[in-house]
Amino acid sequence: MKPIEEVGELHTDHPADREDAVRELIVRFHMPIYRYCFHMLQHKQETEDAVQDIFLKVVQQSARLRSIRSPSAWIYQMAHNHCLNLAAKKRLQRLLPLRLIGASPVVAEDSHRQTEEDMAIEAMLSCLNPGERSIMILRVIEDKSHEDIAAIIGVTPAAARKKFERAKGKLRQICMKEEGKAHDPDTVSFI
Amino acid sequence: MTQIPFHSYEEFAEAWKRRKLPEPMPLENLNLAPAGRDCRKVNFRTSASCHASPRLKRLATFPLLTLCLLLAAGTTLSARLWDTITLRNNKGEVTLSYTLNSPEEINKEALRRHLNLKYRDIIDKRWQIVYPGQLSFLVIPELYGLTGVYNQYQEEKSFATPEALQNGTTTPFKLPAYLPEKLSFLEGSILYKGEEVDPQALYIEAQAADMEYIVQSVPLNSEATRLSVEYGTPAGPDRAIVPKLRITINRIAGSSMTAMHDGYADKVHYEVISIHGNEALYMEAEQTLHVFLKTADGGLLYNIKVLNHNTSVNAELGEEQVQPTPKEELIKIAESLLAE
Repeated sequence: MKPIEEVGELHTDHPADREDAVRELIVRFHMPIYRYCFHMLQHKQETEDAVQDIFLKVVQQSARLRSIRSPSAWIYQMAHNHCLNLAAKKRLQRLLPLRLIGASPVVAEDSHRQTEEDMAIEAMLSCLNPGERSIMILRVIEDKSHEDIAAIIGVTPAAARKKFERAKGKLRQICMKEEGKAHDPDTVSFI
Repeated sequence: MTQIPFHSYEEFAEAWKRRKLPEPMPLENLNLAPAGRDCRKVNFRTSASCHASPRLKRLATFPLLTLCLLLAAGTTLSARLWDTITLRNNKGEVTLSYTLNSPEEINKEALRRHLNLKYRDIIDKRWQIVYPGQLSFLVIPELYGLTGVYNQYQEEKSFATPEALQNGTTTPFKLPAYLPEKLSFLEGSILYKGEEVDPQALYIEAQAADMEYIVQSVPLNSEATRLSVEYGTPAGPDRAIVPKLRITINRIAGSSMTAMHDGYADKVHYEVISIHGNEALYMEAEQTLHVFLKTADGGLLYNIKVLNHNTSVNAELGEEQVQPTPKEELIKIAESLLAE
């Protein structure tokens, strides 16, 4: 299947076409954006809310669709900015006396089961700042090129590559450290 | 602390790629506002998200700030009662309504949120308490004492054939004899009823032992509390948009149609239909038909929903064009469910 950006620009600005195009974008990018946001936020309910907010922005800004060359980059850019804003808000809210940030669902039937491997992945990713994490997700999970990532995060492709290599280096170092600990008889395991 | 089991970055990246994510909520209420009209946030949210939506609760917590923002955005506001604010667009349609709580309620809500945050890790660590074939109850005394709310978890059981699904529970239920062209059974799943557990007793036990939280797991029986069946076109290309039909069957006590009418009032456009003497609600924007089927011990609520459909972009891509499932098709499915 051809990626959606190859469809090209909207040929008409008729509201019905626009609505169809927006609906199509939402249906097509729901899962990728959900996946991106989940890896960024690591919380299902927050992810659901973030995805809704991002698509609400898509709807609100649908008049711009005609002039957008790559809807995919446009949506990812919105998701990237939204998740970075959420991360910044979270950092700020930690300083407030009353933590009035979004709560987890109180009663939930959830079949999702997190493994130790998942926890290890989260622990490693938590060593990255939100910007680095976003780049890693776009590159590793979403399989985006450095050019695509550059368009999404608003830097040059060379800068995007450099940022990716730096984040990758951090993760590589963690793996090496842990590997070193595993071979050190004096080191007690974390668990 | 968590032990890192990866020996190299490549090993980590591979594990990360194959990580299984929780399933997202289906795109329900995908109700795009017609051009030139305000987007209706209430309708746009998924139904499940609405229940726990921190956004609406934040609105109640910061009413003045919110009102200022909304007024600045040029929206007309009317206060029908002292404690209820209704937001209308320039056509006079209700777009959002919420209640202004008393200071005591606001404080209670703030405390509840604080506790939710405090215990978020425990609530999220479902994998520690969910075992196959069991229903786990989690009671956090501090939260339960404030709100009376507890958590329960179970793993959904999946079935690959309609026969296996029928044999998977003792709860009698029907599957539609009629299906739109090209749709066939993809997957079914069941959530089961568990043995009765008294959360109050768990709460008292946890309090007496000064426990932060208490978990009790009980065996599941073969009665279903929720069934879900998905129909679609098998073996489509990856990520291709194909029509899918989901039928969810929930066991409920008594008729819920009246409650549904009330819940949807002013928010969602729906049409009441009679199918073989049973009341049904059709929601065009969501392409969903809710049908209530009375049984000896209450009733089963069938939600028949079209998950997605093709539009013009697929046609441009040269893919096979699949028309949206029309209302008549959903009614035919419901009729085949209700037929004796």
